[in-house]
Amino acid sequence: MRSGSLIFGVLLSALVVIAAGVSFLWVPFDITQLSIPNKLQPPNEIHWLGTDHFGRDILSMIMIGARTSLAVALLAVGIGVFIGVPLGLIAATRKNSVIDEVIMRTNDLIFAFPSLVIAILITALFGPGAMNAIIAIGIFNIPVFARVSRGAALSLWQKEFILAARVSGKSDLRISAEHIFPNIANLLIVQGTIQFSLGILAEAGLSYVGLGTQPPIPSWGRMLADAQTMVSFAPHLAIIPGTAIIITVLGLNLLGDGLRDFLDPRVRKSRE
Amino acid sequence: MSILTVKNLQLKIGAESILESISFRLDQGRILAMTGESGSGKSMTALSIIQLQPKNAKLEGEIFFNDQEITKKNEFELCKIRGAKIGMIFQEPMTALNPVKTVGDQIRETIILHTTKNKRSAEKETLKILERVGLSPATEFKKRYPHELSGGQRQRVVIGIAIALKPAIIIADEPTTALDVTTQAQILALLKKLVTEDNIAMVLITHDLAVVADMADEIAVMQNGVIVEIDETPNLFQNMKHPYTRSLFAASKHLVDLPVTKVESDALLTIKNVTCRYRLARTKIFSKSDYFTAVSNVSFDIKNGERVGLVGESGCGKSTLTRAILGLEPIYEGEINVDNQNILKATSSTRKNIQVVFQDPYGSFNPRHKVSTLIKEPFFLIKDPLEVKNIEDKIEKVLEDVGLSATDKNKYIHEFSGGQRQRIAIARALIIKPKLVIFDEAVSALDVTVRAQILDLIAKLAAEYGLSYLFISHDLSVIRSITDRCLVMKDGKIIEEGTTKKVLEQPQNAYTKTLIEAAPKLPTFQTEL
Repeated sequence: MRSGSLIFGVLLSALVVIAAGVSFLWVPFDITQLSIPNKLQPPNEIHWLGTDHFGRDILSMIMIGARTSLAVALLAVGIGVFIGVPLGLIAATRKNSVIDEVIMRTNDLIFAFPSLVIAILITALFGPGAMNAIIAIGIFNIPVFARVSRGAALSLWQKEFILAARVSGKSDLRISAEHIFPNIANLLIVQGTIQFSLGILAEAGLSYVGLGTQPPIPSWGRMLADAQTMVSFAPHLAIIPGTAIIITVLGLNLLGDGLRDFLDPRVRKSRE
Repeated sequence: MSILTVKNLQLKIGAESILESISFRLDQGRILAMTGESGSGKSMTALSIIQLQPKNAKLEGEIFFNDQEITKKNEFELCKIRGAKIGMIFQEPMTALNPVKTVGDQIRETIILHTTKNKRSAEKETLKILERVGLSPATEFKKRYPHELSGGQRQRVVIGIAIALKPAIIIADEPTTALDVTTQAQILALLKKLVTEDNIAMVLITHDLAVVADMADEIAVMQNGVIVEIDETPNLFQNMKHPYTRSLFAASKHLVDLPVTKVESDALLTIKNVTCRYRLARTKIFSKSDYFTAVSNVSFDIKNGERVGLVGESGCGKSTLTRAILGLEPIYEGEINVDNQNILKATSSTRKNIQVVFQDPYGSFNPRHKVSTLIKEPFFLIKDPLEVKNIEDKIEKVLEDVGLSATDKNKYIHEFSGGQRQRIAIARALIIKPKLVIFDEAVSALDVTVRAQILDLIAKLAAEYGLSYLFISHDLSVIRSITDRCLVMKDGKIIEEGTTKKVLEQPQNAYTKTLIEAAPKLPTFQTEL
């Protein structure tokens, strides 16, 4: 039953990744070509998922949009993990010290800003674009990962196997890498998939208000934004990118849950 | 008519049989002890009596409370019996109490919930109960929250709640296991007094034969879900019929055959006037924080080849001292030297002479690593490449030395039982051949028969590896069997020191005397084994 969710998660995620991968080589129609006579077609045998108000093929746009969404979310989670986790682990080794306070209070400060505000700030400074969306979402991810890893690490530092490692003369940083990190990895995977899905939603949100990916590069968020005015007579324009987001987020969450169990030797054993 | 009759009780979870043909009867005013090692089914029997067995368990057989068959009753009827007619006392008093309510409120609520008493008479009753369980002045204690009480006082409150409704039966599941010896003696005396005064029937569940011997009128010995022997206490001890009862008794009285070792004159570990203290939380923002002195002006030596014990109750500072010796704790005053090097400044060549075995067989290992990775960790201290050679051979050798097989190195830690894990902990401590090992309550979490095996193993390996050790324990019988010299610690100070025999047989200090008197003792019947 447990491995069922893993398989389902892998399948859904693979679907999205393959769609994004294939789009580099081939898409059904060229989306830079506008074809007004074919506009707003419902799904049919030529355009499997229909066309938008410029007559562009929606399947092709979804495939290329997957590329954008995955890249933005992946990089944003990457920023969060690579900066946030070490910060959290360092803060945990020096609990209640000045370093801990500085790291965690800075995190609180970033947490206090909504990501949208950061995105607007960055866009105001550097202009809109996918890269700025990545940075904005990534910065917002840092305190999330720092807090999760600090909290989990603190309780682990009380464990006797950490004392045993200290008796073996290992430094705090080495213990963090060898003992603490593998034991919080399951939490980070779950948090990672949650942040990944949130990243996809945030990118959609930023693109929706025009701060993310810029035209003509398609993005699921902007497809939703464009569909807004036409939803009453061409509902597929909103339903299709919405479904794509749901499939990706669902797939990633299931994948994360399954991975967490799969990577734990205790659970793995009991399943065999 | 007995107040409680259990007839042919069976409990199955899935295909696994947990309890089999459990039958016994219990009369009012008597104490029935159920004893046995972990996993023998004693707690499950107790839970079954109040119909709190796990939801997926299948129960067969009959349980009569007075004349009522209770296995057929529905949840609503059972709720009236539980608490009101059958009281329950658990092992861990902190989790059994609600931390956000005063203890007075908790007792009063129990009374109001189950009786028709109004608030005022319930309040009066509460005060009476607090006095009865020895928390006086009751008007003072009723205002306290659980965290403001000591472990023993909390257990008194739990007992108070259990007796509040004058139940006919009390089920006590390891009521003193989490407590210190001196507290344990007081709680046991209190339970015994209440049972006699209120004519209560009590089922006492404990793994400790010595506790059982003092308390129970009748003893049931359990093994693998079966009562292997049940008899009146004196009869049971005089003619133990079942081999398991005999082995349990033998293990409890187990004396380790300590090999004679040569004690050298040079000190391996010297502790000179060591004081360790903690900063306490500030009571006001700008007030100066107070300090708590956990270890105060402690001095002693351990010479090469010595086997030293350190006895003390919880909170006496023995854990802080252990950490200080291991170099993991800042020392406020004084110094600790290993091989004439200050431990806080020691290089890895000195540090490798000292290793540790902890109490908790479950928390002592990183669950993500294989056994080979776990036990070779101390090699990090060894910088000489020659010594790190053949590391796999050394892992296999040490695993065999501690009584496991060489192939165990590829397993994960969760595949081992508590006793096996403690063997692995010993293997980890010994693999780099240290001179001194600190055993921090290393056998406290183990069952008696496993404990006896581990103690034998420690004695044997200490001789083979030429070890000195410091064995820290709250259990006098363990200290007696495994050390030559012992220290008694109280409130951060060493209050008595001498050869183990002398300290335990002719204690000078008053505290040592109470400690020895409080320890439950097994009767000395001569049995043919």
